[in-house]
Amino acid sequence: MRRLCFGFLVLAALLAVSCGKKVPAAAVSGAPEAAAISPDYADVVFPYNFQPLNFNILSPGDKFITRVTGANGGEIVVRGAAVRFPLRAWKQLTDANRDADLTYTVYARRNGRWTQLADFKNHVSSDPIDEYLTYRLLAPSYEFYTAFQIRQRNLTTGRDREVYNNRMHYNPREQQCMNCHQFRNYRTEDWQMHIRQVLGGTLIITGDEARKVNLKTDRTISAGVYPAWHPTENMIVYSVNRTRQFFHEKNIHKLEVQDPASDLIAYDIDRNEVRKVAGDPLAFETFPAWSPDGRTLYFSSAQQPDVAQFSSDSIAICFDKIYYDIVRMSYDPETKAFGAPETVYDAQSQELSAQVPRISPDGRYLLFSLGEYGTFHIWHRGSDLWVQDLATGASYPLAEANSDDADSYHNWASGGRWIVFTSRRDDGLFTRTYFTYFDRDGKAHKAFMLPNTDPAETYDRVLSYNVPEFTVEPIRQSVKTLSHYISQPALQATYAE
Amino acid sequence: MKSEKWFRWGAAALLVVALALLVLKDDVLAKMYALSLWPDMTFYLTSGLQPGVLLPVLGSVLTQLCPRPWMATVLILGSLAALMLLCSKVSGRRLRALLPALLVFCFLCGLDYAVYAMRAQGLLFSQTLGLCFALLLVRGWQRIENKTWARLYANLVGMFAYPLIGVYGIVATLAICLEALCEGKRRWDYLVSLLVYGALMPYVWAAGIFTHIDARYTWYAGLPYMDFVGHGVRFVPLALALACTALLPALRSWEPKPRAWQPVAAALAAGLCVWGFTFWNANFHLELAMERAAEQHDWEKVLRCARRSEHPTRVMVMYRNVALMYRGELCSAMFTYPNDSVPIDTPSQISQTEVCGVPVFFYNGLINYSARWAWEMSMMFQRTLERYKYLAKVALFTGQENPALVRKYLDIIGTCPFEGKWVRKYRGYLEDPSLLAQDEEYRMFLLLDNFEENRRPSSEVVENTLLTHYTIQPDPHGTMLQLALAAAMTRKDIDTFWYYYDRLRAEGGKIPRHVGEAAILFAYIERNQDAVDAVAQDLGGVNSLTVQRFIQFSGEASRASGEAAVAEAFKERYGDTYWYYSSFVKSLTTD
Repeated sequence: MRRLCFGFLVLAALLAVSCGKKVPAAAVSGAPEAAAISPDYADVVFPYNFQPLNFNILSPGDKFITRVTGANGGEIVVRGAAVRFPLRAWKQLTDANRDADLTYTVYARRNGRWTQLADFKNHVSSDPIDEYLTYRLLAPSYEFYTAFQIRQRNLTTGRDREVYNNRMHYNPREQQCMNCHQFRNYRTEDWQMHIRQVLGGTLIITGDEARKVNLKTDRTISAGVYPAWHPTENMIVYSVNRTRQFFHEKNIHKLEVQDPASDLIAYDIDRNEVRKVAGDPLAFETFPAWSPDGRTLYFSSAQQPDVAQFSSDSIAICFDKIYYDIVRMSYDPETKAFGAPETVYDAQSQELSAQVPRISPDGRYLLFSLGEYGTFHIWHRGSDLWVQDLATGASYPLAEANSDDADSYHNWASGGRWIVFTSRRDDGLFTRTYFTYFDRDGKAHKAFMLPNTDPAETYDRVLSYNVPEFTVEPIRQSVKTLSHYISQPALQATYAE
Repeated sequence: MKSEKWFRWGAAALLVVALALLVLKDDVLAKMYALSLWPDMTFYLTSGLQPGVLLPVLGSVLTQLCPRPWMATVLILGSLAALMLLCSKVSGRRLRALLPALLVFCFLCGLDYAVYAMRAQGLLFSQTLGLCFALLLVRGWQRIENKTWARLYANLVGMFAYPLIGVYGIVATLAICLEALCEGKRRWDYLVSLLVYGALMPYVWAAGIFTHIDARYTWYAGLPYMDFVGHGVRFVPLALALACTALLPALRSWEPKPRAWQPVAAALAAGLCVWGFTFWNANFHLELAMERAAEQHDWEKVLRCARRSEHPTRVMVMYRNVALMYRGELCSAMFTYPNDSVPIDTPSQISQTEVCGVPVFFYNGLINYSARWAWEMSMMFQRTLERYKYLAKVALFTGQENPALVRKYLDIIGTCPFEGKWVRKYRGYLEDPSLLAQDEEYRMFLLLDNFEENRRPSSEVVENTLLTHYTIQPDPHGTMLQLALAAAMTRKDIDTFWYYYDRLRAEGGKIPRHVGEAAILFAYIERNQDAVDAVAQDLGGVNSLTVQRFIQFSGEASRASGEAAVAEAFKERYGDTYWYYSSFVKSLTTD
């Protein structure tokens, strides 16, 4: 009897296995409609070393089978409306199909009959993407942030881990905010992030050492805000910003974040000194970024609006008349001297505002976001990604990657072929991380969302993913270690003329 | 035998008292449902990764099964009965077995304004469940205490109960070890267990698995520790319940000599305990009732509640004004109700915005601010069904939002088992926007949306924001004009009042009662006879009731002296007029 039962079990298991990987033989083929999927991964170019692009099928049907076949061979068949590809099989398929297409065939069972929907394709690029992405995960609130995290995603496997969360030093009376994590040269040996309010300071990690610094001096208008690590020197340029936010009663943008004053400072890590880099009293300088050779500093700069008695409060009136250009200054590593500012992209004359300059690793392209006005483009629906070819001076939008909603905070991968950015294109509120392929002709391709293992979670989670930063290796510190560093008193930086 | 009888009577009495109190507090129960949510992935990513995860999850699930207060009452009574039964099994059927249930009930009755700002999830049931689980674990050990693997069982409880039920697992370990020690079983073994599991296990878990938890709170896992600070007294019953649960099993065989006065003293002590820990504040309960009635558009009930407090909070005043606005009676009835600005009675640091910002901004048409505060509150405290409902309505009403956002909110609300009807209604609006025209809230929103865009700094108090919003509108009409006049009258702002009064006259139609009262009073105060005559003319001539009554009022006011006595006398005769509000209701705090 026992043997009989065992036999039945083996038979059932074999049947289940053999049936699970078959596509329907008698499917009605050639249905004109393509499968509706979420996230939209149809016709995208993605790196061969990327994690599985799991998705949900939204097309009608009570059962689904998805078959992915590679032009160079290989196949994966997955059952169900939630399409999750096994990691190993996915890797084999994408590895075998570098610079080739993957074709997705979706079968939907409707009224007891299988229907084959129109195929869609992906292209597998042989340009690899950096292995890690560090980002902030938080709800889209405005002033209160009791629970949020910095997380790191392994983009090749999809594994996600917490780097730090602000409940490690929970205090019900005062919140803790973390922002602006940034790494030097895509490595995690040297990196930094800011802690605001509880145990506030800038945590600077250099190799095995960690230091928490208070960058606010009586000569600067704030502590360091947006950072730019010098690629070779122990120096970080920061913007210092007096930031105001105010809320629209009925405007669709809901919120404005503006800086009625901002300058640039340079922090010498070895000497624990800050000095002013750009401090025109009638200009707002912000979002610094180094060229890869460390000889040019790019930043955004706006002229103070021409209103009588301009003040921190009156910025609520003239907020839509502030336009930022992209400006650069030369830097001489020998003398540590900065040159005169020179406008690279003149947005002001077009009554537009250019933000967050980022130079491609080969030094050829300037990537920035261009919106209608102001500084905080994630709240501006008209914001798009643009590039300027620094060799020719030609500027153009990344039309294939942009959307009708806010496309903002962006970064290059170390190879220069992939761009990560944040976008609100899905629902207008929750920021998601998107990637786009930037080909050798300087053209972007259709952007695709950072996938999650559970495709439903990708879309349903009511959290925003922002400040995405690539690295080629994982962060070396544990949550507990970072928590320990953060609990240390902040070292006061000094001001040098 | 006698003690068993007293236990039965005591349990019955406690359940009856609990039933009565829960019926009285039905609005608190309704609010607790609205402030809960079916556990989702976000929940697991925030609270779910903590030791004691089972309690908030099950607590939220049970709360979500109680969309009506009577359902919550039944479930709470059931959980209290289960707790009493378990405790009696573990510690003997004596009166003292009622202590954990009594104390946890006192904790529930003590819930005050802090419910608006609770970070702990499923609080209505989570702590009772924690005590039940702890007692179940102890009972399990008692069933096998003489078997050889009783030690193994105790070790397993010590090791694995903590991540699931938090500090209640430690309580179970303590109870087992204490009972074993008291009964003289393998004293050293159990003492070591007590030390290892009771004192060290939380640190082992914190170091190994829960590395992302603030180590200071290791010992509070499973308790609503995020709400402890500044509210210590409220948690005294909970702490005592934990102590009782740990100690009672060890006292299983302790049988003091029965005395006749003991049951009476116990009843008195229990009564005092319930009375002392219960939050009785009338305004709190009226506010909750008004909020619930407003949500159901039962404006009559909102106004009935407004009449029941002589000294309302501004939150109550705002709900009352919303009800009057919906009934079109704002400027003709608002001063017939009590007006005051009694502070919110709570030791917690809770602001007016936290108590009512989301609904009141919504009802007043400032839906951007309603959505903003819904998110702020979700981040500060927790995501709740109520907040998601407002977010969904705002996203739908603005018409500018991506439909995907509305769908996302509706999907989340749809995970709650009793919200299908609500979700179907709003999904219907999404699929056929023409249906929105039938929605009473949307129709009112369209009337209130007729204002000029403005921007405000970060944090302002709700009422102050609203009053400013209405009194800076350059050209309001209809309902907005009524609101502007009401705001000017509330602020006793004469210049602003005249500005809107002239617009009202230009619109034509009848002058609302309080507007007429204010107009004649302000004209009189400014000693402008032409204005007085003009207003009198607007009100139907000098023989009109309002003018005649004002002549009487001003005559009496000019002869009166001694403010307190005068105020009382005038309240009796003119308490329903703007004149009384303007002259005698002073020091109102609206910001």
